[in-house]
Amino acid sequence: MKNNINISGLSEYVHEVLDCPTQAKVNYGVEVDWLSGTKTKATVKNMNLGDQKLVRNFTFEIDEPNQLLGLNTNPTPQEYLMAGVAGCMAVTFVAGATLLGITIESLKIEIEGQLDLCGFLGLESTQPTGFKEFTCNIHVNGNGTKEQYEVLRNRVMNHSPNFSSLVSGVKMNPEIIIKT
Amino acid sequence: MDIKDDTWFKDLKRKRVSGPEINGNSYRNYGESTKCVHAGQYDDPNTNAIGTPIFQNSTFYLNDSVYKAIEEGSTRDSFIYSRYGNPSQWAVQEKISSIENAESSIVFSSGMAAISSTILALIEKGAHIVTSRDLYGGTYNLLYEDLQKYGISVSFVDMTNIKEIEESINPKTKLLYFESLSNPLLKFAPIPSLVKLAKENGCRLVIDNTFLTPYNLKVLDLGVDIVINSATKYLGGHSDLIAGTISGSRKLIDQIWPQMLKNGGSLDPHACFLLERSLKTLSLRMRTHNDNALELAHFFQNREEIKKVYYPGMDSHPQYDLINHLTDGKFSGMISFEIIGGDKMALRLLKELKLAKEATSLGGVESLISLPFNTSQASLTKNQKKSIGINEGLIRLSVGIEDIEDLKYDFEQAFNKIFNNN
Repeated sequence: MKNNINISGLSEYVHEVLDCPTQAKVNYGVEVDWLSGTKTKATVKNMNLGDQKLVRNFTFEIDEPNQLLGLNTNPTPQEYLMAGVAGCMAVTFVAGATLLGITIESLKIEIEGQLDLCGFLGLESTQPTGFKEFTCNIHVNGNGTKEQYEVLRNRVMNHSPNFSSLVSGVKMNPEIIIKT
Repeated sequence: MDIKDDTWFKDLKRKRVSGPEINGNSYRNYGESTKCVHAGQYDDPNTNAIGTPIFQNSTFYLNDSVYKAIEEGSTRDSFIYSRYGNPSQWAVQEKISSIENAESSIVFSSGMAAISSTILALIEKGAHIVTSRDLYGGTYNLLYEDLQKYGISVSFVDMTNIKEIEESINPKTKLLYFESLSNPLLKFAPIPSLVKLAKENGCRLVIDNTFLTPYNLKVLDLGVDIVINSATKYLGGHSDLIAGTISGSRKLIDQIWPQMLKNGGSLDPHACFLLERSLKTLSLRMRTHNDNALELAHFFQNREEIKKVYYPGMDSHPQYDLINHLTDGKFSGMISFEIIGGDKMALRLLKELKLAKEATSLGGVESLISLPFNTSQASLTKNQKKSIGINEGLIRLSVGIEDIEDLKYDFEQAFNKIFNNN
């Protein structure tokens, strides 16, 4: 299979969704338990894809570097956020390349961003608490043309769910549930 | 490449279709016997020979369309290599799909190859399976001994107790796996209730329908996701081949097919030929198996040498009404019964029979008879056997298609010999 992407299966799924739009609905979830200090452990919840339940048996830990009060045992929440966006962009880019008949030899997506921790610390600042901007480089090697890769970049910006969530924003209003 | 501004996945054209098919005529609107005879059969256009040839080849010419299929991932619909697919497999698979009312089927080199590939394909790491305590030993061993290596947990329950099944389902439960009729006590899986439970909990329901066969009950029509058969039994029907089948939606069968490629277990073309030929007479054979078993079960019930008869077609069976309703009075050819005098007399009976062969397996044209205590349940202690209802003197009989009067006479003469020393 080109790029190890089953484009026939993807095509069949597109038509399955056209026939039954609920097959496009995917539910995700994670639970993050505080372990100690800056360390937390994420457990992935079951997914629902259309009428299917997908059992997810994955956990990972999150930490901070020593300089930010952590033990430096695992990536930071910010790094997971960036990786989650880049991973989603990569899938979208490669699947799109396959659709266009391009063979990808290598792909690296690089994301960097700067936080101003004044917001976290509660100090007076004109800067937002979160990231203001990410820089992103897509390093690609394959048999596509520059024009095709630029089209693919635009497709990623339109169709990558995590990219879209990040740039469009996601509503979120945490509620407190007191455990007795 | 010229790319339209909005070209994206929505522009892909390939739709999922039933199959793969070599014949293209499933005879879906025809009766059972017609389907059995005609569906899937590939008549060679070059020679005008009637009947699917045995395509005894491991590989096929590569060409542009095959290269395209490899590139796009549609290799299940091309002939590339016989583990992936072979015309002999496609022909018999098409016939099985027609008989099962399925979109797609796969034939395997054994029932266990079908079972293991199906289970491994449908579960994820960390998933949970609910199944029966009365499972066929091979399936039980796979679930009990091997699956924990892959992080899979299994609950074994009373297959007739829907409350116990429901209570054993947890958020990780992905698969409900049951046999429509259990071995050897012929308990019936309450399929409509299981379908409801599976839907409510987002689980897949897999039914091993080996003992009943699609002739007697089409479980896919009831909402089951995947049906499995050990084709070694009734589908093959002549005790001369080892094979397994799965059938269901094209979507789910496509999900299991790559697992078959990884596990191996594809069916040899010659065995495909035997299976396809056997299926042509499935309806004929099953009618006789059903009729003979029903009459023999009543014959046993009236014999003073027999303590208890287990047969789903007798109103003494606790689930008779449900089975009768679902199968429209077709109960298959398996009978179990307990003989007075325990295992010792059971062993003697087997030696005195002239027609029923003392052998394991079932579903052949010839009657096959065996004792659970020294075959399928041999590893259990006496107490364990008792706890699951395997009592002293239990005999399992696969009723063949011999003349019923001959079968009755055979048992009568054997009873007379062992009880009266005549």
